[in-house]
Amino acid sequence: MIPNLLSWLIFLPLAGALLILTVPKENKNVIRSIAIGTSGVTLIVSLILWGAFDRAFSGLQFYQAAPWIDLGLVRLNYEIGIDGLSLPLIILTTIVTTLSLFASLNISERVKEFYIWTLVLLTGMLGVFVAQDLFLFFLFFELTLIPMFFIIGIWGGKEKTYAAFKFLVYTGLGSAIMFLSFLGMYYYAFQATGLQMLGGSGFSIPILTQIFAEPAFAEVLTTGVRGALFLGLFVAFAIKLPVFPFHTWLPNAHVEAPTAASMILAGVLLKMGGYGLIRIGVGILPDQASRFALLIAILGVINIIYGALLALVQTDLKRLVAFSSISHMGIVLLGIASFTASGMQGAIFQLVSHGFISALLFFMVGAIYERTKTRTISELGGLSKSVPVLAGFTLAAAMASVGLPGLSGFVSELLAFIGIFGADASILPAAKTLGVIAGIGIILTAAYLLWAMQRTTFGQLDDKYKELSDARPLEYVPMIGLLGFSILIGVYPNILSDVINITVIDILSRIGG
Amino acid sequence: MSAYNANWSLMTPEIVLGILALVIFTIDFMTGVKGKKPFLGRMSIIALLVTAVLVYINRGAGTIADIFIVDHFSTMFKIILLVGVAIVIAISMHYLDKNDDVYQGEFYSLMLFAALGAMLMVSSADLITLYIGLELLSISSYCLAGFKKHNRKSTEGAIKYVVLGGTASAFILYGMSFLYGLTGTTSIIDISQVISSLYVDYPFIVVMSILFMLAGFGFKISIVPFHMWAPDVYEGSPTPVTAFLSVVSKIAGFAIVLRVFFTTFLGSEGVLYDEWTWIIAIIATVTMIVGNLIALTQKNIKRLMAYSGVAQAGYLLVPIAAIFIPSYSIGVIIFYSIVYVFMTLGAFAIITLVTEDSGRDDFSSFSGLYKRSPYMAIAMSVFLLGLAGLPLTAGFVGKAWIFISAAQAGMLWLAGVMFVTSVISFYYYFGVIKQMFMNEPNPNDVELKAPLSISVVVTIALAVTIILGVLPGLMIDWIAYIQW
Repeated sequence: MIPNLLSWLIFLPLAGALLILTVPKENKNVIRSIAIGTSGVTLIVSLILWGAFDRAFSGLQFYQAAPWIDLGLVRLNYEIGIDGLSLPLIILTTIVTTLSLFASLNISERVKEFYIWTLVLLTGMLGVFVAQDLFLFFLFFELTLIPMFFIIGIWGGKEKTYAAFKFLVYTGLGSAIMFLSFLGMYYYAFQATGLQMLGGSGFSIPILTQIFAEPAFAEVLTTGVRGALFLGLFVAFAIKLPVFPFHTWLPNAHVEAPTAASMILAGVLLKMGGYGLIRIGVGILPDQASRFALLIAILGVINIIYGALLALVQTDLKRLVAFSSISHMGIVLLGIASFTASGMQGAIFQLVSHGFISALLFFMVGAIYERTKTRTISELGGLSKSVPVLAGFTLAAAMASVGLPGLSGFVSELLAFIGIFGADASILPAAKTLGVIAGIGIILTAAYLLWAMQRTTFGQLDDKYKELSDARPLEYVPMIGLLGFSILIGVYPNILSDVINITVIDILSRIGG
Repeated sequence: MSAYNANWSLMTPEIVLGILALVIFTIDFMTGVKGKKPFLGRMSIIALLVTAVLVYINRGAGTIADIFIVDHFSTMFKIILLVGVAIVIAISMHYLDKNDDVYQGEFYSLMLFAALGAMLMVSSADLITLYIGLELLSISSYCLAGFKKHNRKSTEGAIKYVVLGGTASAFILYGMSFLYGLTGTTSIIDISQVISSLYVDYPFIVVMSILFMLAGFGFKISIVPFHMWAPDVYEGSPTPVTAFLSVVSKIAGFAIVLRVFFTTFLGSEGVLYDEWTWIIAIIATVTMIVGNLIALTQKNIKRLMAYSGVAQAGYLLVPIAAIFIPSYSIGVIIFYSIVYVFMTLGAFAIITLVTEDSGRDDFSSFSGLYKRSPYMAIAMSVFLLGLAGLPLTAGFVGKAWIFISAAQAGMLWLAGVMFVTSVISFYYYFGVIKQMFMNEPNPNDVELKAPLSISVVVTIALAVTIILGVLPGLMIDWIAYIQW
């Protein structure tokens, strides 16, 4: 086994970015090859991890810890490791990013910078999913902010500046609340354990999990303190996920971003919110997470319905997909709030599944826009006649998003709903009512997606779209890749669930205790 | 120990710098008053670096008759300040090369005298010595601020600076006179030994003394509400002088705030702890909020840096308010000071280059800098990201350490204010980044060639900003426990 495999995983993209820095900016194809090559190697490393992962072991694997900064009274460690929660998201990240690089081949301006930023972004995202130290987690979380600001601001659409700054300020505020909650956790853990912790790291996730689970410290770590910390974390991650009412940055950012960035934003960046909520919110403060289960579930239902209703009235195809993301993230919240094994699995499944499907949808919208120069639904129509392949994949992506059986969306929604209907009434009252209301949201999803498909791919073909060229060979790579993984998970969900299962059981066992 | 048999060798670096400053001053007269004199700049840099080396060699602890202290604290601050002034002079060489209507020799020797004043300040253990150092620094700065004699803004700024600076000095003296009246001594060490018992009898006078001195020192470090001079003076001054004011003056000011207040009022059993914490915490809060909010509305890069400097001073106040262990707070402040010096001077080097090239100092002079000089645009972005406190820059680690130290002292709310205002600062720092990367260059702005001095300064600052961002241990291990 290669030592320090995880470190290789997160720093390879950064090395690739530095390599690109040395290439003259005129050699666009060299730059593209280096970027795709680096990201491909990262993908291979992540697949090696997938293969070598011990599915019967619930703790952290490929664990690595080294002292990084010694601040005298507190040590910040470079502490990384993965479990069944991180691994699927790492695979998702490497796949979506690699495929999004194929989608960005049509970018011809400032190519060098674009790929450098994308690779830096990849390092940031992978870092978030492997960090086991809150400080390191925060560092990588913030690191994703800078590349995304540049990508939206430079290569974005008409309102790119506004979208970039809105993204910056919202995400920045989210980070502020997150870091304050981290500091609060550190401070109270420090108060509770006193001198015992001086030698160790006060930000280590495994250590904090133990400290917050220890009944002996209940005097310092009162319910009020824990509740406040959990709510802080919840708001911070809710901005990223995003949860109503913190979602308003998403439509701007997703719509204005170039296709590749939209794919990464929807496919991976949103998942950091869900991941953080499960890893840190539920993982360290399980009692508080279950205490606020009803709030989480209600917000989840609002997300589903509200996102779907807004999607229904959109006239712009890309905005429609953006609002569908908000709706789908509601299912993640719903799954978490059920606090059952299947619900939690459903939430993680939904993170992964939505990652593939939304990336595919954004790719398809981008491909259509590139040809027709419009995203307005009413101006499109009959695309299945002029570009049958693109139209077909768009339809398939929409079906996956609706939750057609055999595709990954179905599995995750099914698991989440099994979870919500089987929820313990003492943790989540009125679970069934919420489940039924959320079910209506699913019907709305079918409505807006099918209606949009009917208006774009079928119907009368405008004359000016008759001569459109269909998919290019390189466009097949992301289309087949993303749809393939969606089908794979849909047909054979065990491939994911046997990785996730033991971690989910481990997290849920903390709630009972 | 009297002043006659004291160990005067402790003052070697100051004496050497003083002599070298006079030598440069004399050479200036001998070579004619006007004209370009880059050799004087080089000599000044060498003089400063030689002094810095002497400070390091002389770092052992000792005092001269209780009026002059050499300890880790003063050694550290002196090295920071001397390196800072050396960088400012490197930037000035480019500036003076572009503007030959000013008297170059005077410029360099005034910088050296200012550096000497700053050194005396951080080493002083006596209120009188401190005041002499402070005035040497201040008077040199007043002259430097008005150096463009024929420019209205420069003259206006200098006059404002003299009048308000003089008032601030008066406040400091008045506050000191209260202490002298109570204790009968001007030695900080002697005062610290008796102040706790005097505080019991005369709390009002002691608090008034603190407030008066704080108002005066607050002017030097530009904290709200004593910051009003900063934008006008920063805007009017020659850009390298602006850099000098925002780095050297400010850090020297922080050093004496620490020296006077920590020794005098915290020295024995943490007297005045509560009042102290609240006064400073409130000032820090207001400073961070006002500095960052007003910075949002600025269109001129030098005024922006002025308000950003106000906000940064607010951040540096946080560890002074939230004291967990005094020596620990000092470590936090020293680390952030080092980081701040390099990030700010790096930014000012590029600001000098860009504004002198275009002749304008509004934001639009930065438009499309990535096309005109990619390296400078990237470096500027790194400095601004560092000032905003984003990861992989030293600013991130520095701010994170301030947050953590505030949390350790139990002042989470202050960390909260600092963090939220930092997010506000994203908006204006990224505003400049947007100009550089997302706007096209002005049609008449061509490729920007940086002279050697600027390139060297920027590269050093960039290296420090990134290396300390990734491996801060290199510096932290060295300063984490300053002996006090």
